[in-house]
Amino acid sequence: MKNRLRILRAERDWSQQELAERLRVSRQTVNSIENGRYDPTLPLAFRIARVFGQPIESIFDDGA
Amino acid sequence: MESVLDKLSNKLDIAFMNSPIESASIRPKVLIKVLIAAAIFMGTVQFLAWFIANHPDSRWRLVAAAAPIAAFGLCAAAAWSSLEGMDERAVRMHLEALAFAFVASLVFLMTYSFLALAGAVTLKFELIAPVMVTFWVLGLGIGLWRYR
Repeated sequence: MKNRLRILRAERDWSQQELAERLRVSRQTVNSIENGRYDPTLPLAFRIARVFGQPIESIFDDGA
Repeated sequence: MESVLDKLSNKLDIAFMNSPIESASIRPKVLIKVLIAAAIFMGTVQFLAWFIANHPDSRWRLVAAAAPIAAFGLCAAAAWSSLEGMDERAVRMHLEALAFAFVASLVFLMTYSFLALAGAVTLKFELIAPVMVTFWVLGLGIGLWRYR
């Protein structure tokens, strides 16, 4: 699943570690999501959406 | 007071967090717990074999025979506790690795049992746990590559 995590993070000038701490996950998890290797669960997707203040569908794109 | 094990584990944890394989999220402290539990299990099995061979008429035979079950429970609890504190990606990697280890061990052991019928050296049952752990580690490696 494609996502705009890297772009949104760069806009806020956050490091992967910083974002990981805000999301309460490991830096590797943030990296995996950004690379499209790992799709987060719904609770984590909601946390991501809240951290960036945007709806989930504007961050994640399932291509449908 | 901090135990020697805690001190060693904390030092390993710090070294591990700075290593490139941190993404496996297997804290050395947990790994040490699992290895100690596995060693206790193996030791219990060896003791059981010795006890039964040397005390064939002992009334404690049944108790001794059940000892590895308790040790195995300790081993399983230590392995399961490794999931605590992990984030969802790490938990998923570990559960997938466990599923992989279960199926791979089954296939390996069944295949080997047929080889044994054809004359290959019979596999000792004590080796089943190390085989499963080996496949678990292999499964983690696959998970690391998959979710890199």
